Amino acid sequence: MDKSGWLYIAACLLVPAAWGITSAWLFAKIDARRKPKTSQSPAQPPVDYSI
Amino acid sequence: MDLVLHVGGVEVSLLVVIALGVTVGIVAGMFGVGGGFLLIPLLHVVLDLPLAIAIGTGLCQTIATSLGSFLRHRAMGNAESRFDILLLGGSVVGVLLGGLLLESLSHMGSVALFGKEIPLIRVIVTAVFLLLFCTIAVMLWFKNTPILATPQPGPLARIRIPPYVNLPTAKLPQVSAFSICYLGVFIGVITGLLGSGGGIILIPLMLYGFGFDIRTAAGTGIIVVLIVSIVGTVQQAMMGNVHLGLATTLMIGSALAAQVGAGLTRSLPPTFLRKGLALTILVSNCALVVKVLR
Repeated sequence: MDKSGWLYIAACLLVPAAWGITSAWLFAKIDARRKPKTSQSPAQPPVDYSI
Repeated sequence: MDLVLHVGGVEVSLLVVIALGVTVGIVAGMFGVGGGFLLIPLLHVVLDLPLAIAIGTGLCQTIATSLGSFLRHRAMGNAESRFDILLLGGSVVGVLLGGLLLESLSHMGSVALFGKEIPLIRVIVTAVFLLLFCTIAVMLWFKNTPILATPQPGPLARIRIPPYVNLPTAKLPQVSAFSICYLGVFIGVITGLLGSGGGIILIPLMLYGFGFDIRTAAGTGIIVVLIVSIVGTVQQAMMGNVHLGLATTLMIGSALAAQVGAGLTRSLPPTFLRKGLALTILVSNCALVVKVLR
């Protein structure tokens, strides 16, 4: 196999790895942004049934 | 008067091409797949087309079937988009590698097998076809479709190589991003090499490998199959392996017949469909082997 063939195989290993790391970082950011929103939602006040 | 198409030095009847498109369309519609696994052997065995042209034209035809499926499933909203995004990164480079492999195989001459000189491209493509699709056929025949309310992570979802991602639609937490990306490379190489859109390989891998439920599995991956088919078709067209007239005729027949096939699905039991698909795969593979050895 010539040099360009080996370079292409190396790209096939490196490009998905870089893509995976970037996507995972991005999804983690999205998850982190969603979590505080749900935890910050005001808790329902207890219903007082006393007369 | 018999209308004919001239494809790769072979004269093929237009009526036979339409009949093939209808057959593939009914099967694709019935089983919810692109039909490339059936079309490539049929083009090579029935029409006697060179394998490289069968693969290039099959990829082109997959664009039409996967586009139809993508639009249908997008309306249902069952896709796990994070899985699609991760898969895409690997599959685009994979399909280009598969195409280059196919191109270099076509220049590699022939080997002597059973006292016959057979082109290496036919031997390797048939061997990969057999290995892959017979495994899928056996899985489909013996394994039931998981119908669990809460999905159980499969072996691929349990791989412990960071970084991890949560897949909210598939209800699978902490799945290795690398396992999905490199699965994309594998799907891409197979698509580029065999011309099969990858849907038929992806569905069992999502069901049994990752533990997706059947609804999410059906909606996920189809956008990747569509994009990979487009990239693969452009690459094959640049190599002169796509016959547009043949692909268009096949598309018309298969697009109409796919609706009939989809209608048949509702009246047939799931076990019959699963085992029917397994048998169809086995028969098309047998035909390919007979053609190579004849």
